Amino acid sequence: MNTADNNGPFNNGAMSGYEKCTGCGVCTLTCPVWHQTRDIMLTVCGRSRVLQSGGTPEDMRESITACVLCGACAAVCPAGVDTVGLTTELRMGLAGAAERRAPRGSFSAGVKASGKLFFPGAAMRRDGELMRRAASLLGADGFALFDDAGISGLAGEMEAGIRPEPEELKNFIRSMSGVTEIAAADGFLHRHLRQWLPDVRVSGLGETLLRKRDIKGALKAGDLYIIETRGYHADHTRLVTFYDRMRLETGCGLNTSLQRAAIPTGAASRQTAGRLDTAEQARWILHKRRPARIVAESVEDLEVFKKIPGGPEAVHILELVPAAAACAKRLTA
Amino acid sequence: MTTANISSTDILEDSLKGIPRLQTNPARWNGEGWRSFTGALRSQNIEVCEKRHTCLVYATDSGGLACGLPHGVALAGSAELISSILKQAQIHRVPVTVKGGGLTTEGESVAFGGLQLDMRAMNRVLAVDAKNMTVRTQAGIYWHTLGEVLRRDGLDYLSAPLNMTSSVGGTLSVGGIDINSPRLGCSADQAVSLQVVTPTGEIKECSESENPELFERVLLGYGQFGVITEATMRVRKFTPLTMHYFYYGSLREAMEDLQLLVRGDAADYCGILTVLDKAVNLLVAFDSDERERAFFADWRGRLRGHGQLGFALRMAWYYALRPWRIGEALYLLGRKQALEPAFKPEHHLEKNKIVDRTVVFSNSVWKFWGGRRMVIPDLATSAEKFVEAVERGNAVCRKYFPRYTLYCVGIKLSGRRERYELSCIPPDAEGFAYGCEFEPILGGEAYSREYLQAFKNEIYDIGVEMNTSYYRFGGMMKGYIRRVFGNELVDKHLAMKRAADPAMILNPDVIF
Repeated sequence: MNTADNNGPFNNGAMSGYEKCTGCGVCTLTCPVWHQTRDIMLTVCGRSRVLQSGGTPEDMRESITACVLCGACAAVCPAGVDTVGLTTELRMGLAGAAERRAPRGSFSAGVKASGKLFFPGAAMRRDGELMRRAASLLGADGFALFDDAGISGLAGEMEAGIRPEPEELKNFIRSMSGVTEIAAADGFLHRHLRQWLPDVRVSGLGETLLRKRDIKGALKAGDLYIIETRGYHADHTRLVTFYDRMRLETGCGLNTSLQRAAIPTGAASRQTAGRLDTAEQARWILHKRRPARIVAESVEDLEVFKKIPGGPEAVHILELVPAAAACAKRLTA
Repeated sequence: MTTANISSTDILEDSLKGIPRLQTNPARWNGEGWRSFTGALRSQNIEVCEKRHTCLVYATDSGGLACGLPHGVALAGSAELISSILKQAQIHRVPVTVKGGGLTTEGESVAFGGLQLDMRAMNRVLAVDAKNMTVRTQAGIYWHTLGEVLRRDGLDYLSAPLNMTSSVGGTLSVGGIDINSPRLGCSADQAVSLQVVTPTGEIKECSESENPELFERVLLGYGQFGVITEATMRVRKFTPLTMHYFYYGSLREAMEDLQLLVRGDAADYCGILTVLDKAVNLLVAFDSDERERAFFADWRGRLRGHGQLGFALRMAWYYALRPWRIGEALYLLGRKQALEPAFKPEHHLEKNKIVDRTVVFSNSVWKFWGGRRMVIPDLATSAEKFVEAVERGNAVCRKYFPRYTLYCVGIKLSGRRERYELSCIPPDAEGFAYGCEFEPILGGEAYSREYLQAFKNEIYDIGVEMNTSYYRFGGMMKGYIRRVFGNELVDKHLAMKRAADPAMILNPDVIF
């Protein structure tokens, strides 16, 4: 089914339900921008209230560009406002958005993919070793490494407020007609892939890897596991249970708040105009915690934690594999 | 009456979509002195935002019925900044309306002109003293944020409104009730000491031993005698809790049993939540297994409430004999099916105990009872008047709405305190007070403002007739204060207010 034809890539038209916002402010409790600025005008709560009062995207340009689209607000909004969709749409409504389009590769209309695909994302593509590990591990479960540079570029543009070209999107959707499952490292893509490809199962890299017993078995009680926030919040109802069970089984800590939203570093945001201090976010995650090790799902988060002076050892979830193999050998012996 | 043909998703049911909310109440302040006031502030590098769309964000409170517009908004970053603002406000006679979480329901935190002071910029936890079990925090902090920080030390606050976005300062100014208030009292009674900026801009520390008069005036003082900027409060060790529900077909029996439990200190948490008049829930919860065991050994047998299965069978029998009430039965069933999992979400359960109960309860409060208009009039009474007040309020609910919820709790009093005078604590309460919120289920119906306000006023009128008070959301209101407390007491407090706030600029029109 081609949902891009039917509904467009976003929940446009209804402006993502901003009118449902009651102003309760629960979204602010999980918002990293609020955490750092304490300015309601820079939150989705403020944006919704401005819209309810007849304001325009230009009235809140600073607010719209400050958001890192982590989606934590969407996971906790009691009124069910599609906050990520709302902010993305507002970005598209800002004057000058379309002019920011940068040259990038596009989708070939004739290419067809099938089966289970792994989308490594832009950050992992820059780290050849990690990508090889991921491809090898996921390959054992039938996932084929997919050259996702085109869709990554499209995601980057969407995040910057550039509406996708309908023809280009159609080409992508057609090319995925034989695909049954996608493991995507870039959590921002999850909600959109689910909209565009409703029959395809979409999971994050972390979730996919944690289904492997040796990976989960390598997590220890002293670990602090950093969930990739965008993918987590895009499917929060399901994943909150998945990760909570993982926490109980392994004894590791999570970067979750009391509301079970994941606290983001904001590092995955492609918004250069963002005002979020990612190191401060990491310090808040670590506040009063003394983990023996950080295990991150996302390459971007990992880089932030590695730069914290005096911080604990930080590894990517893919780097748990040798430890897992050694552990398995010991168990076998 | 209702206008059901209007979409409930419109901006306000009686306004037009796309047209900004305008100040519907007549301006109480004409703007004289505003320019010189803001000029003086800007000369001190204090930013006042006068953008229209910013001011519109502050146009109403959780109640959603009172609408006003400030001339400008300032984010309160420090006590010194607030001091400068209040000093200039006294000189230029500009009203300053303080807003924390904005969870008032009668427009108390809405500015009808003048400056809106948003306290939420002051929300840092300053020090956790695990040895003395206290926390020092800035007062603009949300209780939830405070809880989030305390949890990193394995601690928790004592009691706070079941609402994650109430601010500490706002709550201490009006009371703050939790389902553990029968044991721990209202939130204001947790305060050990406060930093306050007086209406004339002095920054003062106060406690029971230092500036005690100010301490007693500011706590439960409706923001009349100063802006609370920091608070030291008692904390406790965090514990998950176990919860049990008992079901009643009679509201009166449930209320009597609640009072029995409150008087006997039988549970760590208890309260009443109704679904229908004939489906009443008495919830009890415990911080420890010992307290739970003691409850079942000593108290359970005295309660008239049923377990879930017993009550379900009674209800099935009741509706089997009255098939024309199938709609009511379906509502009851639907409500049960929606509420039960929400109050026991799997990811907040560990070993069958609820972890982070404030999050669980608050989420449910917003999900099932929240809305663009929080219509929650309440009454606070002495033990003797509790049953009659609730039954009379219930009759008012029945008159106005097909479906509603009552939420009742006990409130332990901390002896005889000056702070209780002219407050949410009823003057005749001894030992315990009791509170009840009357909350209509508005659903998809579009009720006019007048209809909702008429309902609220009829509940408040019960308070006047029975000489009670009002707690939590509604608080005391200007239109009721003299009728409830009489001229002598009100004039005494008004004289104190005039002495403390010569230009009468701080939170005007809330009670005086």
